Amino acid sequence: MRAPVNTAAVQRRVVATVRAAGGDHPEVAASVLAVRGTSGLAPDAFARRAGVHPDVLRRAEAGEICRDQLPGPLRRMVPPA
Amino acid sequence: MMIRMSPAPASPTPPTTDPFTVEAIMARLAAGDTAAIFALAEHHGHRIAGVVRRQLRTCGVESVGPDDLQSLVLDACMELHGVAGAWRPGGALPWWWAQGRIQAVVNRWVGIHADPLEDHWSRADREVEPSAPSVEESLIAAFARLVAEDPRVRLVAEAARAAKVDDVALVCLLDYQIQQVQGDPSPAHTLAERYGTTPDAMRQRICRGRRRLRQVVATDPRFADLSELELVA
Repeated sequence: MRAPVNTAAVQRRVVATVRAAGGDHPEVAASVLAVRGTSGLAPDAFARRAGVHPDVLRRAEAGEICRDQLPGPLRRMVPPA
Repeated sequence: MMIRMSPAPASPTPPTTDPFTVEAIMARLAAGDTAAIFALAEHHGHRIAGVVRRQLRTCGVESVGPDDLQSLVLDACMELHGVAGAWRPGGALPWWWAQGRIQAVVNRWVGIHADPLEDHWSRADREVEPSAPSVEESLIAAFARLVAEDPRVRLVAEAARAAKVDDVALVCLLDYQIQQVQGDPSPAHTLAERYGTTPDAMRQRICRGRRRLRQVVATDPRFADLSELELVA
């Protein structure tokens, strides 16, 4: 079996981690982290590629921003609730 | 295991063309980049699964369902995230280096799922339920229990008292030894984080504790039996 773990399963774990760390929007954070994690890009490079400010990316990945308040490129990475 | 969330680092990826090498992913995890867990699971999950299966076999579990395997691999990934800062490139691959921790993950799972019928019968006859050996106990609690149960461990505790090595320092010394036995290439780094100190201070603490203990064991005939313990070697 090449990949015993699917991204959705990792995402569920990361949701729990972000929630435990006090993030208000852990699902948003996990979705953005999943896209960046699978891209292999560092935060700055990813923010540049997505055309968003690195601080916005940092806050999104910490679960501090709800989906509706994300800039378009990041919002598209998060499925609607 | 609780993973500490850190702010996304500025540029944790080392200068390499492939961001999915073990070294690159571990460097990102060590820098607190939670996103790297996805890369670890996706690109190296099958290797971690191999270690998990091997550990399961040592517990007598020959086959495991895909959901359970996925869950165990994820637990192992989380463990690797927690100790990524102590791993050094050039040595064993992280999942071999930290196989003691992966074994603990597997033991917990086996402990939860193993429920043989005899246990129900024997449990009914006992007033006090024994603790399952597969459940990870805190080192302090385990040591306190062993002091009460095992005369040799009690002697170690007495020697530590005579050497003016306090309980925390003694547990730290034991923890250090456990890390070494588990193949941790830098126990001082691992424990420094756990005990909220620096690796240098941790090395000093270990060195001082071991020296005092060794001195007492060498000079006090009550503790002569401990002279061959690795703890004081």
